[in-house]
Amino acid sequence: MNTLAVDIVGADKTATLSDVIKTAYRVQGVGKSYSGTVVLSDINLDFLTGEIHGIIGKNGAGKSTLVDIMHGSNIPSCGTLTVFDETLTKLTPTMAHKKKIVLVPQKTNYANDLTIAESLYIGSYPKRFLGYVSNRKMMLMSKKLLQKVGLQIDPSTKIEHLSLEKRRLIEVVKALWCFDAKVLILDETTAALGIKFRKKLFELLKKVVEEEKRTVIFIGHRLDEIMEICDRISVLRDGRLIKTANTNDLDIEELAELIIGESENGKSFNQTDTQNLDKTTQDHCFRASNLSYQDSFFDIDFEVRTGEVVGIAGMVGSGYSDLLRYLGGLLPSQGSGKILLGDETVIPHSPAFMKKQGIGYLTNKREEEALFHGLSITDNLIGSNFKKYISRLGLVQYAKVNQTVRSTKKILEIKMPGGSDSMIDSLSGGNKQKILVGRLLDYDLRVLLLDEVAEGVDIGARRKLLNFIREKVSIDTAVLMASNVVMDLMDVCDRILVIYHGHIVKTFDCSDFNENEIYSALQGLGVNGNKVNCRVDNRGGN
Amino acid sequence: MGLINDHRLKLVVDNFIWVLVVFFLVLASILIDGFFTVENFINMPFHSASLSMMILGMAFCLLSKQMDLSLESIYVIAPAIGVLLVTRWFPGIPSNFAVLFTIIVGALIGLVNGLLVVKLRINSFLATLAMLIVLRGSVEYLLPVGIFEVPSLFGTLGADTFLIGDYEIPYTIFIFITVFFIADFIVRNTVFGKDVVAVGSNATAAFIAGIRVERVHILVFVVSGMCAAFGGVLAVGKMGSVMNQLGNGDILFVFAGTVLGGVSLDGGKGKIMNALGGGLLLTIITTILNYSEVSPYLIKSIQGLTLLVAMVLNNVIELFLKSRLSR
Repeated sequence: MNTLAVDIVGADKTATLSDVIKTAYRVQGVGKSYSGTVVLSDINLDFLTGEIHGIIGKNGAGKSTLVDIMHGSNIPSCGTLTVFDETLTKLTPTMAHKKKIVLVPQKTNYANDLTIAESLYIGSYPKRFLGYVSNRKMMLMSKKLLQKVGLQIDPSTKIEHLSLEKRRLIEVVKALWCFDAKVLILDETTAALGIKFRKKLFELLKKVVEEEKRTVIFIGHRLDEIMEICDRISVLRDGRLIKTANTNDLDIEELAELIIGESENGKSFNQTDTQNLDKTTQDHCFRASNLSYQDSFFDIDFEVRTGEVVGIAGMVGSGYSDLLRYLGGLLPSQGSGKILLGDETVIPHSPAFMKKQGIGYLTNKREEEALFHGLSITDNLIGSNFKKYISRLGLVQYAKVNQTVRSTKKILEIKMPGGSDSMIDSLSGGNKQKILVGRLLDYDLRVLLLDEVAEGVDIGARRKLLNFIREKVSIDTAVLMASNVVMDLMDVCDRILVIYHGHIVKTFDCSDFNENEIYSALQGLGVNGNKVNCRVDNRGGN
Repeated sequence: MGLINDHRLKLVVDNFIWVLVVFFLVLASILIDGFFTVENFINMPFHSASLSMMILGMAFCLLSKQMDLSLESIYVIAPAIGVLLVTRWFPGIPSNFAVLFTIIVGALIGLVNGLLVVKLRINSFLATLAMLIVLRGSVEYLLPVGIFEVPSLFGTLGADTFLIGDYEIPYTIFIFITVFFIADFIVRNTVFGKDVVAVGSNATAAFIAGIRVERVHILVFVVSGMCAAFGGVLAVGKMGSVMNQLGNGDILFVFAGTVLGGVSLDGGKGKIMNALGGGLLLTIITTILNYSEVSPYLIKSIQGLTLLVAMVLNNVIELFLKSRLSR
């Protein structure tokens, strides 16, 4: 361990690396496009044995597509992959597994009922003669692995009793030693980790890279940690490889600039001052003061007026999702603080209750929490709102329903090739999302809470959807939208609040939107690159 | 390709149970002497009526992604209590009220099921399994020997006939098919029906969209209890007696019929009218077995085997057609 520490601090590692080291994984000229839309183009990357290689970029820069291609779950439109000098024409996840390319995905479905040992060795249990699973041996081996990473847990503990952090770490352990990864791809593994576990993970990664000459490909969002852990960093932007550089040759501001590109200062294109002026005259619509909920967010203050769009920018896990879920009535217990709608105090009991108050919530988990799979487009659009369309006899009036479907289809420009009676799953992601936005519109709400409204929506549709929210929705509604994509928020919001570790650290008015600054703030960095420790109140603007 | 376009294929996939019904009817009519008679074609829907009512109840449950195993016990205990109320416990009440009481008892048992599942969060399979056993035991205690005289309204609903030409047609056929049409209408055209399907398709999404999921589930159990009780009314009327073994073991056929009718165990998928087809198909298979001279000891296994074949056929053809559609 000592030699390791010295090495990291002192030596010019890359010089020694490039002498002995060969390429473990080479990506050559890889591109990917979906029906004309290019999401990746001409990516050339060499991943060396014994290095930690960071890939960083904004959301939608192409990181996940690249990861998918590298581990075989997505087929590139062009280009080749070379694994340990073997050029592959086609890579499948099974082949990747055989070549010891292992991905630790962003989200894992944990088999909660398994013990740690079982989940480590699932699929390759140690056998005794006659094929019995040797539980004793499995426990011993698991214990050794856990000790290797400094986890003092009994391997017979069930996964469901572990914290999310420990589960992530165990995933990495499994990839390293049970799957024996030569090339380990970590897709935003640190997002769920606290400082202590991040440190543990980093130590572990440095060790395996150093001593066992493995390759780690580290996909991340946070500048500081990617600077800390990686030997080299590649920056992706808009599907292109902008730069690959040694970490030592970069500083954090430079990196932020590379990620964002030409920083757009000032306000975004589709807003005018007049729009803002007539809004200020209107009453407060939706306010919160001192809102706190368990350990997800603290002392949140905001106000959204009718006709305003307010953005909450933050990284995944910074608390914005929980904030919106709380406001939408989804969280089971009550937090502290006050929520006001007009002059009335609102307590978020349940989604049904909040909907009655005129507050609607759009989840960011579209497939799991919003869509009725196997039902028609019409049923999905109307959803729980059939009450609005019943006659005096209690029967649904389909003539009126169809009218709504038609008008929603028109204003949101939804493409439904099979007509409104075809299944919801026949639509593309963007059109599904439009259906869900349309569902909320049909509720006649006063407040809209949108969590990652543009996620998983292709670029063309994204623009249209955001414009629609800006121009049509916000006329008689107060909109609170949260996202980790700063550009999206800048395009539509009147104000952006930046949330970091559950606190609102900064507020930007649309006159001083600056992607660079907002991005730095949501990274927890001050303008000059320091961590923001206290709350910066910048709300005197209006 | 004019004859087989995608739209028509989809229609066939979605209503495949009726293809099976017609297939078995035609096959039996050709192969078995005496099968193709008016009497037989009246008898088959007549005999499927009471089982079909349970299938209807199960269809509601499966649509909302629950299940109710206690249906076959409700099917007997509801009419038993209904009849006992007017004959033994409160002899002053006009005896035909027994039918009303039967339905109410069915609804109440359904309510208990619903509360167990929703409020106490017991898995619906387990809660209704316990109920199945408890209720069967109770009815054996209440009716050790059965009742051989039932109020006349039972007979009217379950057995009486009217004449069309030379043929006697039981009212039952019209009654239960009407109930199916009403249920189908409820599912497609009322808020309750829409909510049932939405909850079955994705309970989380329904909750977030503001549907009161718990209430919908409780109501579903009440409705399915009422369906089973009404099925009991028809069965008791048909036989003119209440026996404590009535419906014993039928729950497996109820499941088979509902699933054959295309109501998915995954929830949210299926049509009520196709569940009617599932019930009919079961009766058709039984009738075919009765006509063909197989050993009575073999009937059960052949029944099961036929079911298996029908389901495999159903799935294989559906898969084939779907792959064709998605091309």
